[in-house]
Amino acid sequence: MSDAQLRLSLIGWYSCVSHGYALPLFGQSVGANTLYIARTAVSGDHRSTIAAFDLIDVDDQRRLRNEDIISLSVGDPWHDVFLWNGVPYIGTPDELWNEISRYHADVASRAPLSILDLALNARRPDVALLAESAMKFLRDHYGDTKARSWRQQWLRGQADIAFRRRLVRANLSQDLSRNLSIEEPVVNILELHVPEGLEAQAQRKSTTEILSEISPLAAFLGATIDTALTAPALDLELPLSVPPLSSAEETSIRSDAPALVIVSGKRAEEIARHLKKCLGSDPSKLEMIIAKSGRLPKSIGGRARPTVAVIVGEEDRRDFLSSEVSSLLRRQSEAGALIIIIPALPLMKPSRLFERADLFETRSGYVVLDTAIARSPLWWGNEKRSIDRRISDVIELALLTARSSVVRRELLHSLTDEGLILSVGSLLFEKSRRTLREPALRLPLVSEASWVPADPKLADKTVKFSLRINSDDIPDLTKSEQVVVEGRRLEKRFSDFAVAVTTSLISRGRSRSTIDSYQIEEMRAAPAGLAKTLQFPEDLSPLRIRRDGGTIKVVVTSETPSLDAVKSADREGWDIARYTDTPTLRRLISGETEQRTFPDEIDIGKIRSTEVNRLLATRGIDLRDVIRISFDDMSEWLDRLPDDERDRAVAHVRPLRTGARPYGDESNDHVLRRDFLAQRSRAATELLDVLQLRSHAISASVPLKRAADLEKCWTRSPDFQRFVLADGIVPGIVLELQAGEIPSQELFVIDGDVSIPLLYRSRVFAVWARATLPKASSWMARFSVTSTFGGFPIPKPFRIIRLDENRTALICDEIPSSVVEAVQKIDRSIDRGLAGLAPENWREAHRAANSSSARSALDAFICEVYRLPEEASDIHILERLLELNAKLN
Amino acid sequence: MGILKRRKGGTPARSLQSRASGGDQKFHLVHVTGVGFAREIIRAGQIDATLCKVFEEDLVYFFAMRPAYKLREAQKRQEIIDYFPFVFLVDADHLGPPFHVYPFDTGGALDGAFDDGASPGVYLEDYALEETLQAVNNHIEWAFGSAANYYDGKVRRDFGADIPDWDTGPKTFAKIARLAAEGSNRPDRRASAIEIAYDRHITLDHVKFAVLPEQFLESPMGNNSEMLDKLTDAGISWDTYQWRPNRPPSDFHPEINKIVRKYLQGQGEL
Repeated sequence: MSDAQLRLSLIGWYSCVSHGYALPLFGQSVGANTLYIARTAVSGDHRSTIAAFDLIDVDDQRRLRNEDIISLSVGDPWHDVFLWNGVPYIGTPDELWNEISRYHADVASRAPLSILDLALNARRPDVALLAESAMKFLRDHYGDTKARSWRQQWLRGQADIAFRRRLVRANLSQDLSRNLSIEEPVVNILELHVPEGLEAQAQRKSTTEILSEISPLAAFLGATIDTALTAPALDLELPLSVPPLSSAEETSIRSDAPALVIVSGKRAEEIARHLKKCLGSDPSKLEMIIAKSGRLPKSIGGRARPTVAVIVGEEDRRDFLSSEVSSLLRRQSEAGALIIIIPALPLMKPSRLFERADLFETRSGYVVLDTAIARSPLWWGNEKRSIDRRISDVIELALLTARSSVVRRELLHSLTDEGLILSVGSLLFEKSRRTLREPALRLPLVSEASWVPADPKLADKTVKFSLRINSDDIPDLTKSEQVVVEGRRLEKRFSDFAVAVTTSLISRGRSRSTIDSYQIEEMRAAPAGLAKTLQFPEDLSPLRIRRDGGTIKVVVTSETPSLDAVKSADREGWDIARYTDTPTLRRLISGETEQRTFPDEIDIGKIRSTEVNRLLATRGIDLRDVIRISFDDMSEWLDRLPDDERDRAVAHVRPLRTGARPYGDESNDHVLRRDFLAQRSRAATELLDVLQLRSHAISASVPLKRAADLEKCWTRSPDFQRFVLADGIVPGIVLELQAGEIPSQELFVIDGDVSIPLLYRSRVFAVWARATLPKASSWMARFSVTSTFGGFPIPKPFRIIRLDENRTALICDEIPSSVVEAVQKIDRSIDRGLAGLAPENWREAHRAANSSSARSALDAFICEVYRLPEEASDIHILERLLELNAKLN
Repeated sequence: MGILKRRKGGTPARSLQSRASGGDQKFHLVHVTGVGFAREIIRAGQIDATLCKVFEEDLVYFFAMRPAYKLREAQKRQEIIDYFPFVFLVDADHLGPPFHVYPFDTGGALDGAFDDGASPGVYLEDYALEETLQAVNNHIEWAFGSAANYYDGKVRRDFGADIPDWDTGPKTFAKIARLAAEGSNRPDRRASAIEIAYDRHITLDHVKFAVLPEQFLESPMGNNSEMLDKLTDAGISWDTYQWRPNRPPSDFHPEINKIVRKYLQGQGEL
């Protein structure tokens, strides 16, 4: 062996499975092609030293990260590579045991043999319990014969190592112990057969010592062991007595009975609605009761439940849990139940339950479920689900995992004075193979309420346990699912979480070199005075983000910032955004916004809404309320009718204008009212006949979804123009409807004159529309009749005139001709843009027209109307609009 | 390259054939491979015949009954297969006639592993046995006396004594076979492991038993239990050996031998 081979770096590993001990591979340098394995002084002994390095050929090895590589010499302690959840941990037995301490329960539940070896090599007292679990695991999975065969082999291995240690100390060949064997002449009674040569060399005294070393191990595995010569008599029976369980212990492990879910508060009921749809329909899994005003129904009874969960609304901050509910929880807990406190997340702020452990008992068996994970930008589930559905997904998963005995054991026994938070997440296996993609192995279970580093190697002291549960353990899980369950100390680390969220936004869709050009720095102090404007001033993270194009300063908050908070940050030259407001954060990171504006998610408080304003806008028709007919079907239908009937029939057909393609080929899409089919006319019969060829599900008897909107869209005052405003798009996209056209539900109908494009294309309306868009409760941005239109103040010279009980129109008597010309110029610009674009890119034409000089003239007029300076900032405009809104009657 | 080479011309002597008449004992064939290959075998449902560069044919190699491994030689690289062996035991009953039968591992022989017993005057083909399973029983009877002795690599006590010096084929084989005995300076169980090659894929329904590392007992990701399920579904019983990252193959290979021996004893073959 050369000098170079006396000291090598541990640079990689090879393993035949994806968990547990791997074969450590060494090399001269990080990228070495020539690989070595280490030989221990005592073969198989993890507490032995490295005796030599031997060459090995490995094609498919895995390499360690540079920061994990360590240099080891002959004579140094043996170091292991231990794989868990796709991460290699490196160290001596003691180091490994400590490094993966938070995964002990997880490893014990899914790899009980590996953790037994880990504990034994680290000489931990846990061996006793782990040995018992290992035997149980083998018996349960492979039967008693295989379990006993494994026990023989395992104990033989331990006896072998013990002999080898002595042989090495005596400078004798280790090969002498090769023929050592253990037999089991009678069930659970083992005989150690020591070959004559070994017995002679190692001396009888050694054999006795070794027996005393492995006897406790055998006992932990449910057997006795002696040398073959002195084996106990064959008729010896092992005393096997198991103490009976207390009733509380029985309840705590009885996880198959239905869980009780108490729903307390309005917000809790909103969330529970979704839960009821999946689990609530199966009484064998879940029993749900509503605690109206904190009162429980008498029917609830006093029987012990395995799990009691309370979904807690926070409408009444003084009393989160009523005394009746608290008392029930205490009784159930004493009877062995697992108590899960489930915060029904307030939409615009964090739950107080994540920071007020004193609001409930912090005793063993009480945990708070991290529902906030549902609105984390690093959410593990379906991004297209609404927040409330996501929360119900989290609750469902937690209730399912609470059925696992491993999870229950950890939750019922992990107690901290500060309370315990339960984080759950789901990973999906790849469809083709039952394996997880490597990046997916590191599920970021992080939220505003609980944060731990994404790198599992940065062992975090707040993590009490980390488990992964397969579908084998919970029958209700799908085969392709693995659930991650972590118990953590109730401790917020909002700053760390905010940095993680911002980093993930920077990483998404950018190249490595671009990502590297960004630097996130957490500032020591937030803008002065900002804290006073926040309800959760401790949850803010002032960040400075440097990139090639400049620097931005943004305060990331856990609550939706109010206008006061925005103004306060703005005064000091800061932006502010809630961590859930990814559009705003993205804009800031990419430097898209030239002028500082308010974030998309902003809390503007309660706003007034007037009926006359609400009536101004009507949502387009629900397409389920009409019969949609293609041009070909319509031609076939009309061809079948005589001339006179054809003319009458045509009068019932209206061209459809959809929000998806408002400039498509109008002749190709038409609608009729469904009541047309109810007529017993020939035209109706023929239409049914034509449509039956293509459709089987049209029925005129089904109630209309939105009858009033259909009526308003269908009828039109001849005195006014009709415009539509595209839903959810800011700045507003306004287009005029032609006679008879019917808009679909992605468009809002507004009747009036040129005031409509003038006002709704303006920056003032854009500010209002953005401020009133729903906050992160849905993935789809939609205007609201009540807030966007009903609350939008419309000052003179605009006038809203009432047409009838249900309709109003917007007009303006004093629009300067230059402004009218500006509107017309914008229309012409849009038309020109449309001519050069594919129909599906129609929005581009509107966007381009927005940057024209005509648009400036339009904005200048509107600013004047609202008594705003022409150069008013978005924040200033919003402030003014709220001022006017407060005066609405 | 070692002393023993392939014949480039002439007629092979085949002087080891019909030396004795063994019984009609049934026996299993043993295929040792790495865990990675074994996963693929189980997934594909067959042991693939692959191109053998020596014989220029697609072949699957077995040893009669014995799991034999290449043992480490000083200054030589070890291979990952030595550290993670996976053993399949195949029922030979319905496999048809083999492509060839040799009294030792031909690969090891051509690599020079048995040069201590070889002679440059005797070529590989001279050692070939008849291409039948009966030839295996005959050879065991002649050289070992019993299947149990064959399994342990113990040739007859007086084996070779009555072979005249001029009968170089059997004489050199007697020397080579003794290299497999534990008392040898360089024990190599391949030296007397009877090699049987088939020129077709062997489907898993012929496999009856498997030996694999104990890590497969645990299945935190589900994929190991899936593999064990496939073995069980194919009617293959299995056992595990204790694998440790700091145990050299020479330590756990005897454990595998013991497991295979126990199985073969259960089948009445030893």
